[in-house]
Amino acid sequence: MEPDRLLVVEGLDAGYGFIQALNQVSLRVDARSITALVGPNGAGKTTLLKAIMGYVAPTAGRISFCGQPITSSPTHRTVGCGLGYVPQGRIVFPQMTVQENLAIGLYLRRHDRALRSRAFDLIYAVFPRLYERRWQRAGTLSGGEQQMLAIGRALMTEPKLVLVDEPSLGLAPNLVDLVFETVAKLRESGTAFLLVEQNAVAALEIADYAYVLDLGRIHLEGPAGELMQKDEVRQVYLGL
Amino acid sequence: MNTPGWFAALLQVIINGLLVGGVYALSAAGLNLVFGVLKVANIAHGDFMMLGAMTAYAVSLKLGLSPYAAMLVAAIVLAGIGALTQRFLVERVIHSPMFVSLLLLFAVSMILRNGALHVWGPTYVSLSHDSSVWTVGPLSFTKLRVAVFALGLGLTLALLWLLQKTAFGQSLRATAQHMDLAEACGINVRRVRMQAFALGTAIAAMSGALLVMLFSVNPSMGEIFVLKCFAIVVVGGLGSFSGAFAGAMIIGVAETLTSYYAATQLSDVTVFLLFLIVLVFRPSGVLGGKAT
Ligand SMILES: Nc1ncnc2c1ncn2[C@@H]1O[C@H](COP(=O)(O)OP(=O)(O)O)[C@@H](O)[C@H]1O
Ligand SMILES: [Mg+2]
Repeated sequence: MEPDRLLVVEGLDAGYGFIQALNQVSLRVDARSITALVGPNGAGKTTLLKAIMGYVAPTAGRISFCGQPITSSPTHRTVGCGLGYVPQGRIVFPQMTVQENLAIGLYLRRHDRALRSRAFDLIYAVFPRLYERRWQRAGTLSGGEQQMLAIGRALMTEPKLVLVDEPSLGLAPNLVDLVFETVAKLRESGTAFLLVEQNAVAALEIADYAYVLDLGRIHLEGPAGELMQKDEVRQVYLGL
Repeated sequence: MNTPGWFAALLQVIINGLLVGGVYALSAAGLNLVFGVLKVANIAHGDFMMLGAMTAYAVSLKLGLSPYAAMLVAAIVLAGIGALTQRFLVERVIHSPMFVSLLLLFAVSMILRNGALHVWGPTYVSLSHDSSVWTVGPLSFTKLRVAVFALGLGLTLALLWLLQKTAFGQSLRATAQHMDLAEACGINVRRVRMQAFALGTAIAAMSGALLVMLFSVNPSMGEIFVLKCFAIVVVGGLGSFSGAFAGAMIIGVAETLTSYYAATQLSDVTVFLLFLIVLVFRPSGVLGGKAT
């Protein structure tokens, strides 16, 4: 096993009751890389992230993270190994302030004072808007601000890998740019990302490697730059 | 002082109502906690109160402990019973529709109530231990009622402090607001659910132990007290701790006013009329209902 292989998914089947949403999915994410996962609505992208996180139990296959098997291990334990998750749909704790949401992101490492100040400084530097609103209840933020908060919260413990589900969905164009710039910048400082996007062009532009998922199967994979050039990808998935 | 007699009497009745309200507030806070974190309506809450009252009574009598020390023993015993009930029964149906956990806890309630009736019989018991009175102008307070009120209030505030200011409270609030997201923050939500239920049962036990200092109770007491707690929580707004506190005071006063000016048998009629009126006309509760 190569040391910089962070996440390895092999032959994964998963679904909901009689619906099989993933069929023999294999994928890997290397350390300090951005891996894009693109594909149409209903392809199974969210299900794959949920299976990695332990929200959905796989019916076949294996998942390992940092060399440790995490197939069907409880979510909180996987998170403790250094996996971050930004769920689809700007999920925040609505009754808590911005500051409290970020503090909960630190829950597992709440006794690490150095990390606490470093993490708050980083997130507030990346998203000054959140700093301005730090005493505001998260439920009263705009959609874009909630998405920034959701991303910030997932980054608080300095995870090795962050799974990000459709961060740009429904955001204003300038915010979409900010989100992609942020992901690219954090990769420079050593964080790896598995980025799920409908906005496939933008995702492929910052990604190192990419997978195309369709109807629960990996349809294509390759270096992001190469995939972008393929006619099939351009026509079917990028609409170019 | 020239306070008219009728006014002094009214004031006295209202104060007596508020003094009982302190215990109601504590009990309702326990019910609210379990509902908030587990999304389970604990229909056995009143029977956990009863077990707390009976345990405190038995421990105080057998071991000669003071009623307050007996209350702590009851809290610890019931926290254990609560943890087991959650871990082996409620947890198994936590993802099922709400009526499943409701029926399950109804069965627990029936078993606890009738088991207790078998062990202790239907006779009424009380731990009333101090009948001295303070007099302030035309008003008088039994010291015991004031002490019980202060304890009820103090424990309710302690719970709020725990929820707002500690990492444990943070994990409870996070789980209550968004279970999946709490897990993504590394919180072990299965453990949090067990802790919340155990804490809720311990709170029920303490309020039961405080009630048995004020009133005579028997193993059937849970039946009326669980409904009263639900009335308080609904009047205050489901999930709102400040609302439940207001609800407890309103219900306490409404009860004593009815007993004094109408008839004791009618006090529950007033309570549940209030419950109905709020449910129909102001379903978010008297304070507008903000979840904590
Ligand atoms: N909770 C669920 N229960 C049943 N079916 C679901 C559920 N969530 C998703 N699905 C189904 O699984 C398939 C994959 O969905 P999803 O993973 O959300 O796709 P994507 O994120 O790529 O849009 C779809 O057919 C969807 O209808
Ligand atoms: Mg999705």
